[in-house]
Amino acid sequence: MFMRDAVFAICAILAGAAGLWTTFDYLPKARHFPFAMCLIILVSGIILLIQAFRNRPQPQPATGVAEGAGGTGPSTPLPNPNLSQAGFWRGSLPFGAVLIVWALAVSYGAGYLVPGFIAGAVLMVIAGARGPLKIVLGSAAVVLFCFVMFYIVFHTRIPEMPAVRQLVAPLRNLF
Amino acid sequence: MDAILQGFYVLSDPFVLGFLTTGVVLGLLIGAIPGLNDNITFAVFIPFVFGMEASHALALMVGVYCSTSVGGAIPAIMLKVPGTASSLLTSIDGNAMTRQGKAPQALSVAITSSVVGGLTSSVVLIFFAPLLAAFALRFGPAENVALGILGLASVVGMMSGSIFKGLIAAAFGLLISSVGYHYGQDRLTFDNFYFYDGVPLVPLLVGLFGITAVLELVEEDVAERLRGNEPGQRQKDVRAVILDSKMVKRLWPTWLRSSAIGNIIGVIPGAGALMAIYISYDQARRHHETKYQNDPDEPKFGEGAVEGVAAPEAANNAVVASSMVPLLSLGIPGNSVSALFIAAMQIKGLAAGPLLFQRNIDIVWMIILAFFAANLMMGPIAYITVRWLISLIYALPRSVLATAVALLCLTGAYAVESTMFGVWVALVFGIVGYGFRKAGVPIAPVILAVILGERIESSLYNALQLSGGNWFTFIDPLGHPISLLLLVVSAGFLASPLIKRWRTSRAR
Repeated sequence: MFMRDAVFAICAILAGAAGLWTTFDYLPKARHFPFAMCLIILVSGIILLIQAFRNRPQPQPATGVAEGAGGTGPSTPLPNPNLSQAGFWRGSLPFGAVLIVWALAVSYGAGYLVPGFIAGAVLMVIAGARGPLKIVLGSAAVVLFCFVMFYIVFHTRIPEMPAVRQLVAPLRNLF
Repeated sequence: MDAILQGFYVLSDPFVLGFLTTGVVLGLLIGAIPGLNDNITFAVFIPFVFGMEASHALALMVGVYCSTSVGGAIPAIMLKVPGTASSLLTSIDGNAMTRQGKAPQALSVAITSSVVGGLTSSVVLIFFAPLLAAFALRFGPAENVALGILGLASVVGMMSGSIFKGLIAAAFGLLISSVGYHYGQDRLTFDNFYFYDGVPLVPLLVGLFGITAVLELVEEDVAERLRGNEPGQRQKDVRAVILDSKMVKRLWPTWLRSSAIGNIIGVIPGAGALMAIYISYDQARRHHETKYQNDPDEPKFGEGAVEGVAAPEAANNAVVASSMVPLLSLGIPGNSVSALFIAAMQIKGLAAGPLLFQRNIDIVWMIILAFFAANLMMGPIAYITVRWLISLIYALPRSVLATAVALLCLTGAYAVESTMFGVWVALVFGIVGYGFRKAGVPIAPVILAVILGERIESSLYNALQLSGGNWFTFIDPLGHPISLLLLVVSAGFLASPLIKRWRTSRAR
């Protein structure tokens, strides 16, 4: 809790300060509003940091009995602190990283379907899918669904390679 | 009367009715899947709005919005896992009833209560939205500034946790709204050509709601697996039953009381469904304890009381349509879902607020009547589909769900302007939103501020110009009494958590 609030407060202070620095040179009428918002972020961040330090948990003297050191009651396993972090390190972090890699691949002209299929398969593995057939079919279904809905049914543009576009042009004309 | 007929004419179009029905079914399904909610659905759906007619898109959204909370009650009752946040309290008594073998009765109470709550709020919307809009037409720039501040203050002041986190979130949103070329200056564009028109709204919403939610979903599932549990498991065959007249007679007072609470809270911007369900649940508990205190056959509250399901379900659906009152009449979103509703309207060139009643009265009444129709059709559809929903939703692998939502969100962000810029905006704001959630900072003030920001800033300058630069114009009791009143109420909203904390510390 303390670390979480302190880190957020420091980020807010830095963002507020950077915003003040950036908006300071703007024309007067254009400056007032963003400048005031940056000031609110900065001041709120400072207050939040002070609050976080004031509410910081004080170290307590050890009161528990270590395992095997005596004590007659049944031992209760302590919650594993690493497990609560594991969801982030093994879940959301690699998931987010794959999305960024997918966006980079599409940006650099790799088309939509192929990077989408590969990224979809990796995302499914990260999200807990097991079994190669399930992953391949699931990923293919998801990418094709997106492609059909956006490109063929709703006629929105998709960054697909020209060869694939030509291939599905007759389908698109149906809608 | 002509306006109502115009709205009815638009709604009676078979396609509009078809989209409304599809929305109701979709909302039930989405609400029933733990991890998905109406926010994510709207975030995924908004890019599709570009390719649809306004009436079709809005009808679909009304359908989804009305039925999501009913869908959320299904896993809450069956598994004690609320499908949406608004089904949080339903899970207590609802799941206790399931464990007592009364799942069909619990499901029926949830569905019927939701329909009653939804219908009462539709009536509130029909009567209050036009009245409030007519009143709001008298608002000048000073009142508009005060109204915008009231909307933000109510969201920041009513949330739990630190008020300063809420202030940072609101200021961050207002700062984002100021990006772009305004008042002869390119502000916070970092010389990027794409930012000159401001931060694109749809990718921003897709990122803040869709990507953030998917990252959280994956994190929870991975942690759950490491604990040895498999998230989302298949359920046995369960159906809903029609409530008998004795039960209906017993639940009427709870329905009326909870619907009234939901309607009052729904109209206040930012108060949200959670506050409504907590208050109505507490009220129902008090009445239940007084009435059944000496009845040994009656389950206690929290241990399978039917009122414990009826109260939160009636209240959460009563919030739905009543939260559209400030949106349609004042242009102020009542909660994050209605903020996404505004975004969809903006995409179709419809500006929510009093002018909407002058320029697009047919669409306004179509939306209002669609809420009524959606609530009417929700009951039978929910009764018919509940068995099918229970078996289907738990068969859908969560890994496929997370991947599908992520790719739909990013593809939608691309499709808005056909550039990768939208995808990067969605990714950046997805990561920012995820960071906010990890830090315990609410996202709702950000999105409300982004939507209200431009209006607040332009009205502020207009008001100052009209008053010759006099800042006291906003609190002038003779010139702008409404503005003064709104600012006093805003100050009250902001001060209330501080006063509450001060009282608590004094009591200690």
